[in-house]
Amino acid sequence: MSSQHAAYDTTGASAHPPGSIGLNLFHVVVIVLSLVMTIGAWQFSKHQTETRTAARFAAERDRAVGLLAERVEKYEHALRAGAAMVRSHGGRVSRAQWKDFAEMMDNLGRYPGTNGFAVVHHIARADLPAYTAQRQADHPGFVVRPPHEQPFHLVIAHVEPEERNRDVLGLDLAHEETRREGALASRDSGTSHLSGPVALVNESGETPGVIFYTPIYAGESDMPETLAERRAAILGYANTAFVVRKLMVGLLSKDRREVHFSIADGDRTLYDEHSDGDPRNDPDPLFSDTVSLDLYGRTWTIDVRSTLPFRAANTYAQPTLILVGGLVIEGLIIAFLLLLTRANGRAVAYARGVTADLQVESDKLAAANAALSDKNKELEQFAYVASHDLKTPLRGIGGLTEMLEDDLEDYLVTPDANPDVATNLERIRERVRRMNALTGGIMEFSRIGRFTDESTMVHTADIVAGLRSDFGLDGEQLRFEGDVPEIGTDTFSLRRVIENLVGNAIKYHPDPESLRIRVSAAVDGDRMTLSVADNGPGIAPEYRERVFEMFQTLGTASNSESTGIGLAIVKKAVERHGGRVILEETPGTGGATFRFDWPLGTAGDIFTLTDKAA
Amino acid sequence: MNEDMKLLVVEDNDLDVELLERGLRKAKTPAKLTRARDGEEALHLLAADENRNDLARPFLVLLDINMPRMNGHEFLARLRANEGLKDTPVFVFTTSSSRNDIDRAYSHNANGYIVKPHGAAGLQEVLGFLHRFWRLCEHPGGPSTARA
Repeated sequence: MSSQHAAYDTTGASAHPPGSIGLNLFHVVVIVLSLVMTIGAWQFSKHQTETRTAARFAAERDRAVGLLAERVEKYEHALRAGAAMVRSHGGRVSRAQWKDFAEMMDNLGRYPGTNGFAVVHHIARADLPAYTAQRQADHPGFVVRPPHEQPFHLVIAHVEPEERNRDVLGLDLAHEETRREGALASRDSGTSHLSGPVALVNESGETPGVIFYTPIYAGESDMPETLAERRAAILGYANTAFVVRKLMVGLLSKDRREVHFSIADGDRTLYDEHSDGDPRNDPDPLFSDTVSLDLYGRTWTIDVRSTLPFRAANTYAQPTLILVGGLVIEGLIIAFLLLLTRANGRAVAYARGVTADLQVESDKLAAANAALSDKNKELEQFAYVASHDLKTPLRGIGGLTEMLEDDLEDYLVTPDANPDVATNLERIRERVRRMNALTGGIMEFSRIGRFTDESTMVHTADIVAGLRSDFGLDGEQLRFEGDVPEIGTDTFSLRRVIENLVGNAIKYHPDPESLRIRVSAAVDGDRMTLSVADNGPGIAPEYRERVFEMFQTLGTASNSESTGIGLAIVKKAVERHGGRVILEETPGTGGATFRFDWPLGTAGDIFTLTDKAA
Repeated sequence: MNEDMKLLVVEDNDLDVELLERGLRKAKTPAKLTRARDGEEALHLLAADENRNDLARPFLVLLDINMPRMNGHEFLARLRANEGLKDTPVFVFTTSSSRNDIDRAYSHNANGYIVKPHGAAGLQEVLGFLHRFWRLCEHPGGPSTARA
């Protein structure tokens, strides 16, 4: 498991430049770019949504205000129609005529904001008693009320439907300033006019409302043109009073709106949806606006606010989604990059650790190798010096033995002589010879291939020819085959290798007459392969490795020259020259064949020999 | 005419000198052997001979290589650098058969290099060769004068 993790970490970081732990410039650029894109997309989407929502709110607002104005206008039309009707009847109508008119207007059905339409007579103070008397003729008990000090009276003369509004008949609107001024403004302007807010009394108590007047002047045709003419010609007013709340109900159904509004005239509230406890009210509206509506002489301030349904319908999740999604992706990117760099850091640290460990191991190994090499050289040197120093006393023993033999020369030939003396002297000489061979072999083994020497040019055939003469063999007994060039090499070593192999072949061959040794050479790449094949008894496969070991003799020859060092020298010399030596059976004869390879040097090569720590 | 083959043996090993003396005796070679134990002593002897003429100049110096104080190579170098002695014939006579020693000896103009033989027979062979060489040098008259 841990190895899988290690492998994952390494893979994940391999493409990354090594040595950077933490985010690099490239990572920062990626993060900043994607952050900018996220914020840009969020802002754009937000702007789009806001623009769209604002347009919706504006449409809702304009619709509400437009409907309000339209509604009031509709009442005004009714009043003007009433005023025109009264005027067409010479300025005074009967109750029946007004009733007909009112029924025609169907005010209950089409004008839900009002209780009824009325005719108000503008009566000078002096004319009041006559007027009252006249009215009491068709309305017994008609009384103008309440009393006041104004120089004129504004008496509600007819009101339809009368059954519901009987108690306002005879009411003098001049008694109260707001109502009075509304009427006078209408009279003076010659147009329909709204009063300021008044408290209307109805079945449910007092509610805010306004009085609407349209002036009725004397004369049948032209409207009076000047203020003075209007004041002189004023007969009365077509009039209605409406509760603003009722005006709104139905026509501007709250259910169909996503805005709520309040209406105020100056600082007096006519209508308020914001504080009516409607659960759809938005305490913190998305949009709000204040519109000033000039309406028949008054300025109404309409405070429009979006509702909770508006918020619900227009609060788009899109920009937020974009922002949140973008930020989440951003976070993922940062986390990913951090993981990447951390993994990379770990991989780099791990690699460094491994490298450092390897370096330590490698240094240790190199040191051990150097130490081993030194030891090896020391050992070789020791072997050489020891062998060399043994030679002198050995020569002494040999010399002394001969001196002894010399001195005993006369004695040994006498019949009484102990035959053991001569035999033992010969045995000493034999052991000295053997010892000499051993020390010489050890010296050669320790020295072979040790020197780096400039090469000399040699033909392998010449070496073999030299050996033929040294060993006293003919061309049949020792034959050379092969076509190899003259090579520049450590001739002494090459000669010793071939000499040892040929010497071995001779030494172990039972019959010099039938002895056949064939030395073959061939070029193979930049090396030469050589084989020395004999027709002797051969060497059994199980001994073929061991013969190359030091002091290994197979014991077939009781020859004092057989030191067991020759093949060790061969192996060492060949390996020092970068090759290897193997022993095979000679095909056909069952003899021994030694194969080895040797470098094809050229003149002037400096031999740098492989220093094997064996 | 000097009938003795005069040899200066430069050799630190007493046994080798004794073997040589024995060999000469056995070969019945008329020889006069002077011995020096090292190169320094040999140089001293040769110089004394030259100055006082009380030692007959040797026909040949037999020079061992491995010796204390002054070894054979040093001796040979010094000898060849000495104006009065540089022509003295020198045969290196040593146990060493190393290529290095042989090359060094000839680079200082040794007249010959003989590896010490093993055994009395080998020594007799060497002495026989030296004697023939001496006769050839000292009696250039020809083989007719050779002893029977």
